[in-house]
Amino acid sequence: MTIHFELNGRKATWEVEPGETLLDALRRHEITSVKNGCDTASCSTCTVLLDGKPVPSCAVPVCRVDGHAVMTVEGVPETARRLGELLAAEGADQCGFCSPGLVMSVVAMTDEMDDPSDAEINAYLSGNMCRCSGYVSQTRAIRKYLEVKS
Amino acid sequence: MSEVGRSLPKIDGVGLVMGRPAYTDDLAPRDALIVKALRSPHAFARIVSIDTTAAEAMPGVHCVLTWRDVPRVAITRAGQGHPEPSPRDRFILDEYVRHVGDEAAAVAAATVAEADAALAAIVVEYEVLEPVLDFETAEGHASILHPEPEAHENFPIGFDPARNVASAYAMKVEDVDAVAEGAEVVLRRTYYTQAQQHVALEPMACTTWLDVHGRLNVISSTQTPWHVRRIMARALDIQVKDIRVNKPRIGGGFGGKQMIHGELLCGLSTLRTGRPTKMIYSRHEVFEATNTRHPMRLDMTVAADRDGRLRAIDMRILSDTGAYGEHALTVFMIAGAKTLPLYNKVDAVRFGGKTVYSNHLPGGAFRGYGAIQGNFALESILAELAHELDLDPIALREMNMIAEGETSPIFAIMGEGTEGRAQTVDSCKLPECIRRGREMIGWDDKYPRREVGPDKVRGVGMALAMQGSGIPGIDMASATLKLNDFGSFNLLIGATDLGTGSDTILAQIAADDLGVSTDQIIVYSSDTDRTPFDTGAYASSTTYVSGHAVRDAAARMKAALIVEGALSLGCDPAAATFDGVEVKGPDGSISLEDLSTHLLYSEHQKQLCVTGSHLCEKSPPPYMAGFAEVEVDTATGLVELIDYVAIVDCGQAINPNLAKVQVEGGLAQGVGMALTEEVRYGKRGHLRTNTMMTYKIPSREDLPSLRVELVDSHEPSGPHGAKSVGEIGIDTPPAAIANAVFNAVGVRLRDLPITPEKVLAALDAARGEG
Amino acid sequence: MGVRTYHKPTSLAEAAGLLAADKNAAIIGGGAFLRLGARTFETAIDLFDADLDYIRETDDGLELGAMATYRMLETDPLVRTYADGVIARAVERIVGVQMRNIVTVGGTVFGRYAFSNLTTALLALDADVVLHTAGRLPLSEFLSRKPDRSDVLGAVVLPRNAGRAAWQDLSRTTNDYAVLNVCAAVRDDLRVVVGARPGLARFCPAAASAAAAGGDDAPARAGEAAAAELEFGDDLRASADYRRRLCRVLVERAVKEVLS
Repeated sequence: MTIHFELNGRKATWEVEPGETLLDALRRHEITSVKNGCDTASCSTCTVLLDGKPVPSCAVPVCRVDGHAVMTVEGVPETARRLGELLAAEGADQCGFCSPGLVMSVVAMTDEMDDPSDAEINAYLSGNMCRCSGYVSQTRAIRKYLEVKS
Repeated sequence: MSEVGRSLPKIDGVGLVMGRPAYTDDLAPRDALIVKALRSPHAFARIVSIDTTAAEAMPGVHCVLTWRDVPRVAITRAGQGHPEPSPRDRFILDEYVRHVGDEAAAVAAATVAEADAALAAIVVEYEVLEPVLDFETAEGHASILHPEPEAHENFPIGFDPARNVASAYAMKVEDVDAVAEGAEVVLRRTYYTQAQQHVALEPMACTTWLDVHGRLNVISSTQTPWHVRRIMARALDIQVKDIRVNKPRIGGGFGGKQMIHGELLCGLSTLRTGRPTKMIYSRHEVFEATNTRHPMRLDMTVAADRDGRLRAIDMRILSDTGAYGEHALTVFMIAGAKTLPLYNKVDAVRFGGKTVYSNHLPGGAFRGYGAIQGNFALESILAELAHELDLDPIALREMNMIAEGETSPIFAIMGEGTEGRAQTVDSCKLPECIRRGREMIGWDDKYPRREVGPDKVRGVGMALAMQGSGIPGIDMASATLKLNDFGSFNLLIGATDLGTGSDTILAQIAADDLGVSTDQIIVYSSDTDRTPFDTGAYASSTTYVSGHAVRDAAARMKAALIVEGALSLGCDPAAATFDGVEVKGPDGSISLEDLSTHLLYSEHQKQLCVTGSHLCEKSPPPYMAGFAEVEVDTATGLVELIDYVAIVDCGQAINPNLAKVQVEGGLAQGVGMALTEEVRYGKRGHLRTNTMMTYKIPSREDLPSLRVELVDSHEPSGPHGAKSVGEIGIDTPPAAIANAVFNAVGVRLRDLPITPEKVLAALDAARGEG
Repeated sequence: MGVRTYHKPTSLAEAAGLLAADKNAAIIGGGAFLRLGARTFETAIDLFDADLDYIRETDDGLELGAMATYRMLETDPLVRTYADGVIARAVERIVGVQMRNIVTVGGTVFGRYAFSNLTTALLALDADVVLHTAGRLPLSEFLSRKPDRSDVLGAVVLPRNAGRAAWQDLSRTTNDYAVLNVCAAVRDDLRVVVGARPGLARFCPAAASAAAAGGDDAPARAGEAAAAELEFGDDLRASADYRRRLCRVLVERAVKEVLS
């Protein structure tokens, strides 16, 4: 079926399968930042923003986004670069597979919360699983990002 | 300015965060056929018949493979050196399936849906066999996992398939029994460690196609491109020269990608169809059809005098290698080889045991590689001994641990599947690691326990660890440096960056030695056609072994630049120097920028391109002291990690931030093994933990405080004084947390993971209720 | 997910009409397990645009639209202050913000997930469900009825007078599903509900009586009573024996808190 939606701030019209997930449709359209980590909405690697809210794109039927707005890392290059530099400065970027999903989650977090504490950051990002870093270097980088931003 | 010792950002960091295409599935040809495997529903069965006619006739299906369609060549999927120390006990597809999820057949089809439909149309008749589901009864079991005559060992490893034994080994130094008899205290305890899964966030992935020359091109998310090439050639019955393997960016490895996974079915499908193919594992497949850490039973005996002097250690292991013997011998040997030398003052040591087959997931390489299993047993029993002797557990260790300038006979006796290499410990900052860790965790205030609320008690515990740095006499790495005009260099390395940052630190070493800045080094790595050889990213070898290869290449490049610069200046090379900016002679100088540009375009034209290589001759252990503070809920048994302090001696850190994050990441996986991660099977051998909802790795809220410091250290044999850091971080959490739980509530957990249920049962037993 | 046709009705009535018109149609909830492909729908009806993602105060009480997400429950000021905030506490650690942005009240309740924290809290708080066809009925009654896939859940309604409540659960990792969950609530009377046993959440009348009897040891006796009156089972997360022990402790803690 045909869907019309907003992708990274631009109008998009896609032919999709009724049973297709948003994740699969995005990757089919060369949005390679969105990665599949777990298939079960448990790792948040595939996080995108749907109407500004972070969602696991593996668990969103692509037909649902008809008439709505989807944002991926490709839509926030400046934020991704800034956060990427801060993550890299801490050595927190590691394998990078979960990074685009983390960036989108941090974007949503900064929209929702002012000046979150470390505990609040950890609670908000709790679903963003990372197997490389042990997380604490990510928290150091995110704290710096929030300081620069505020 | 020195480039080594700086926390430079990882060179690929920003690009990956921005989501640029870089991983296998991002790079696979758009028209690649989808390869999928039909997986066994049985733990152990023989395929009586398999009918693929319907599947082959289905739309989009290009090829269906069964065991009758593959070369009958026995291989191992362990990505190890040649010849592999693992038994060659499997085929691309076989008449037998040996665990739930084992491959019974495969299809290549145009789409995922067509591949799934074709799999559903394959009709298999299985003769279901009695599975071996308890590794403690595997040896001599009536069911024999590997009756096939082709299975063999490459050299003696104790392979005895008729008895379900994949490998066996024994060694001793002096007579443990005699020493124990004369000792004042003897403790005997049995410990169990569980199967753990890697859970790299990028699933196993590969893609293959034939290039214009008809050569098989492979992009694979692998830690060992050269071993993949060699083993693929053997399995597919084609020549090594006809395969190219390239590792792109990969989304984590941790040992899980030191095995061959989809490469064989993908490659064979491409050879049969002439079409590009790809095989991207689902998370379910990663759980059900790759490898786990080898579960072990460790029977320990320690003998000591009342004053705490250790007299003897005996470690006897039964290791479960599951359906196939991948890394069976070596992981089991490392359990002793990378723990027992820590306490080198003993009069006698004995180590031995077997690795047995069972109808569970095959064991495999996993960060820590046996050392974490051995560490849990050894560092637990030493804490038990300290308690028995009423000694501070730190004091007991300080009295007995290895020190700089000393050695252990075990270094010479035990290697990885072969004899080891004698070595003296030239860098060991354990005393400093302990001092600093003790201070940071607040040991003197907190040991052993504090009540912090109703039903809540906190305790601290600690453990020491060692690892190695490469495999002496086996691990070899190489590096090529090529000079470009305007003074940049290509660094071509076989080393395999798993996301650890090894491309970056190797560029830092090259830059430092050449005297240029790191951004003048353009790194390209891990391509069997285009970069020189490297054994791969495992055994904590990259910094120590590949780092030396880069140093060798840089020295050769520097010498070549001096020769060419002197020629240009008209002076004797012996009188010329190169400082990274210019070649200076007695009467003048030429800049690197000019010299490099002249060499390509205008004067004495030639390409400067040099290759260095390095064979690992020594394996200096990194060391660490780990300290855990836990809070135990005495009513529910729940253990919460409050704080973890890790102080590490990894020699000179080439990039301190990247080194530190290696340790933090290792700790996180070690904490998972200690507390929550466990591969569990049902009664008939099916996997119950086959999603990330059921197999629980720690989230960031489970790791509120990991505090890592690196101590000043310099390893004389290391590149710029470096040792390894990739694995050491994972080793201590199981023992340190078990020791902290004991110190908090007085119950000793000897089987991992330490779940609330086990803690409560132990507390109930101790309180005499239930 | 295998799907032939996909509908996005813009109202509950339209959704009910679509469902009635096609016996192969089914409502998809939040959609959390779509990629597993476990279910195939001839016709999928997605309530995403049906204006059911609301939380509002009405004369009847606090109304949670079927498509209100867990994340809305955690952040909504009305829910956060309702009955000592137990609903937010019940859901705020589940998996992650991303998952909680797609998991819905309706999907959870209609799906009768035994591991659910939310269902335990809603039962203890005396919630009603509002179905398009069957109308309004107590959640406890809805859960005891045979599932009727031809009806659509529009909302869950919590009584105006919230009372006090306490939440207790235990999970293996912070963001895992609970090994056991407990909600104790006091409005006119005291109710104790235990879920993830691993069976569906159940009232514990004996525990409630023990707690209501008062005295210093009332919470402990309530814990004993709940452990005795409920059945527990084994699953991956824990054994029946452990759950029974845990039930004693968590009910005791919840009752103690709600009576304090």
